[in-house]
Amino acid sequence: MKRRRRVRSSSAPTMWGKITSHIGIWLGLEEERPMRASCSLSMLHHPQVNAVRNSKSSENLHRVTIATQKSKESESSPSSRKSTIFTLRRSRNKEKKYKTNGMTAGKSFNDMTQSWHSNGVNQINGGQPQSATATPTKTIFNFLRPARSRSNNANEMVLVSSTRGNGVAPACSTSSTVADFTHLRKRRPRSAHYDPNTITLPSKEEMTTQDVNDLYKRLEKLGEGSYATVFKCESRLDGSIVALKEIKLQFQEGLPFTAIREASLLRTLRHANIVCLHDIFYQHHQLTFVFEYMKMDLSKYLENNPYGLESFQIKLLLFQLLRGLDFCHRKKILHRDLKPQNLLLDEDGVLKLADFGLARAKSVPSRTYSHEVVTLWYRPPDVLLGSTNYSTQLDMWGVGCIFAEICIGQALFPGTKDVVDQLEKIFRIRGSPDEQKWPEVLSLPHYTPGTFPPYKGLAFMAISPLFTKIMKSGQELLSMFLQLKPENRVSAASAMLHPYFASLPREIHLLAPAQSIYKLSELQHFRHEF
Amino acid sequence: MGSRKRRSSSRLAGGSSAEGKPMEDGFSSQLLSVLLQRERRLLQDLPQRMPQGDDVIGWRERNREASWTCSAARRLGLGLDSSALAVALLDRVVLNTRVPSKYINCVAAASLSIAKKICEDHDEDSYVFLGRLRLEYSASELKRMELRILSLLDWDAHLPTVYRFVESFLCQIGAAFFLDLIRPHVEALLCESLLTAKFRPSVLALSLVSILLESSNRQYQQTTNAMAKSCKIDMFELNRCRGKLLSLWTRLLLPKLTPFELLAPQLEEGLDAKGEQFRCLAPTPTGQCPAPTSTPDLASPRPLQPTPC
Repeated sequence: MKRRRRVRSSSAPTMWGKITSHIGIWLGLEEERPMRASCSLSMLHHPQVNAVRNSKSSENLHRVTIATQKSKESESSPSSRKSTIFTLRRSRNKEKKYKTNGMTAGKSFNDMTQSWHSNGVNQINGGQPQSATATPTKTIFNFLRPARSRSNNANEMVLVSSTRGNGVAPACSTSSTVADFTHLRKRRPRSAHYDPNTITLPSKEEMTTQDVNDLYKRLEKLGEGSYATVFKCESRLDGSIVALKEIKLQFQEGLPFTAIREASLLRTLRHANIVCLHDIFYQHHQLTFVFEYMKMDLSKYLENNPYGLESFQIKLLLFQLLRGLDFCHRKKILHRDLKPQNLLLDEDGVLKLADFGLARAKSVPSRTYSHEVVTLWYRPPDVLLGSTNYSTQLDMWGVGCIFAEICIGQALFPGTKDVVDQLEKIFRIRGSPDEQKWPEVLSLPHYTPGTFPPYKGLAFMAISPLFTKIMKSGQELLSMFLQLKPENRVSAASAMLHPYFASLPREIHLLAPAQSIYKLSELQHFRHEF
Repeated sequence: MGSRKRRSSSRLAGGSSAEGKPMEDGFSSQLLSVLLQRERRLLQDLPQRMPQGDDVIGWRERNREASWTCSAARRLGLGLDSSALAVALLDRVVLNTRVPSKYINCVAAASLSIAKKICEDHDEDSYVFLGRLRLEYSASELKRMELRILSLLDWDAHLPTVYRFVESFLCQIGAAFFLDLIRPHVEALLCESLLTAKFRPSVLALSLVSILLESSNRQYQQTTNAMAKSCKIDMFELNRCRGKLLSLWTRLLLPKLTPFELLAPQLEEGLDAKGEQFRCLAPTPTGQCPAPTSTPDLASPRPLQPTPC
């Protein structure tokens, strides 16, 4: 029995609404609309609603208030429509028609909202206007809407809104306008497509209140890719320098997933070593992300240092990289595209992680991901062999590659052809996978035993004498990053506690996420070296 | 007893990778605290009631679209995290703004598209997505709706969903294997606004996990209490949610027998077996192992078509 009722309840009102609507149209009674759909019954259970009449008619929930001039202004102001996702386009004739009536349609809805949600309303009396003082400055007249009521019995009690306590805003206070589409019902299309004559999504230009070009002045182009162009810009308001990432949207394509991910993730990641997303604009078929400005990326910096960086610089940069990455990993977010191009440096030498377009929240281990992540040179061997079941260890391999690169000034595994070539380069230095130590390798899709020669691996000093810069402890840490078996790789949090960083002040581990390491007095004289 | 309690509490605290051990794949308690923090912040500015008005959708339409979203996600082969995020996005939109009933399916489709882009790795063009769901919207319309939703959410679309809480709770207690089995149960929950509007995602998730534990382990209460304490969830609220969740599952996931089946004597044996199978899903205090492998799919109450106006 219950089930039958449930099924009927989902479809019957829709059908009944359609039938009555059509009959109304045929008979020309639609303007009067003697019957209308009920409000959600949930409103009846609202704590601020007192039932003072037995009728459950939703008509009684509505009151019309003739408001003051002020409400008229609020109706026309854009802020009154701000909370509605859909705007109503009404023809001028219709507007005129309703304005000439005693109870204008558009106005009455705003007024109705104010009446229903206003704190000063206490009682309504049988369809007669009754003044009620809501605030000292505003007088509100309340009306019952008799024509809209299913029940014509004026003696019946009505549902009224009352404020309890210190005037807490009612639950529906966010809906600043309550638009009535009754007068448009005749013209409402039957399809779900947008009809410009009725209600539409606002045009794209309406979505941003300010033009990005009015706010920022372009200074120079910083870079261009297939997906976005980055400009250095100056704020016209305060003269601050920002980086604008402009993403061109194709007319017939959806929003790029990289943009959605980057924006969504960076909204929740606020850290001194993660690039800050200030604002987002959408206009002229273009999405613009306003980032904090960074002087250069690590790749460019390395171009000027072909033999790698100085030992203490390496230490500071690696620590900052680990700090930012640890913050992401603690929130179970994988960056998945670590490379020197995505590590930005400011004038003080603060390193920040950027480009979270490929990043994603890590799910349970059973969930599989794409193995086509991370630029080839920084992709770990398990992912190169087709693993789709990776976790935060994916990023740690990239950290190892970057660590080596800032030591020696060039990439450690610069594959030139394909995945096999990349694997060859890795195995030559780190040794071929040992099936006894790493039995899971046998189950990886692209692994075939005997494909690669049995390399034993090389010591880092044998690869380049420049590794002496990081001493033995640094080489040990590098080896912990570059483990073939993902489970053996050290985590970002553990790596920060490695003896390699023992020369850094202890307070560095106690800094708040938003504080830069250069806040420490011991490190302040290193900040101008970049 | 004391040692067991200590062990369970230390396990609940989660093995953080900051302890100097090699990297662990388990979910740390830090993720849970992050989720709880975000949930608290998001709930602060979320209205508890839907905006009212003529031709504006109500909870019934919301439930219908949530159900459509879940079935569409299944059709596309998306994970439960995508379904849960899509429904969470839909909920935030319908609670924060007035959505005319004409557009609710478009909002649901755009929410699913955003959730897919966030949770799934394998991207596809919008027109393929729309074609697979047999929707009549154009890619441009979908994009505009996506933009509207994202701007409404201030581009903070990675919401703490029921699924994310369930996942972190189950991973904490080492019962992540349940995640593959509970899809119908989570979907039933997502499609019921009486639950989602009344209880926070964390409370819903813990209730769900608690019922799962009850069905498989007699010591479920200690674990539930410890998790509730760590998440600062009121036990009264939790019990109320558990009761409602159980009645929902009983109503939706128990087999629906026709009068003929009920009265037919020759089918008695078969019915008993069927009934027994589903009785396990609604766990009893005695605690039986659940057998949700053959649970019925939640049928969408309507075909995959745009909402007619």
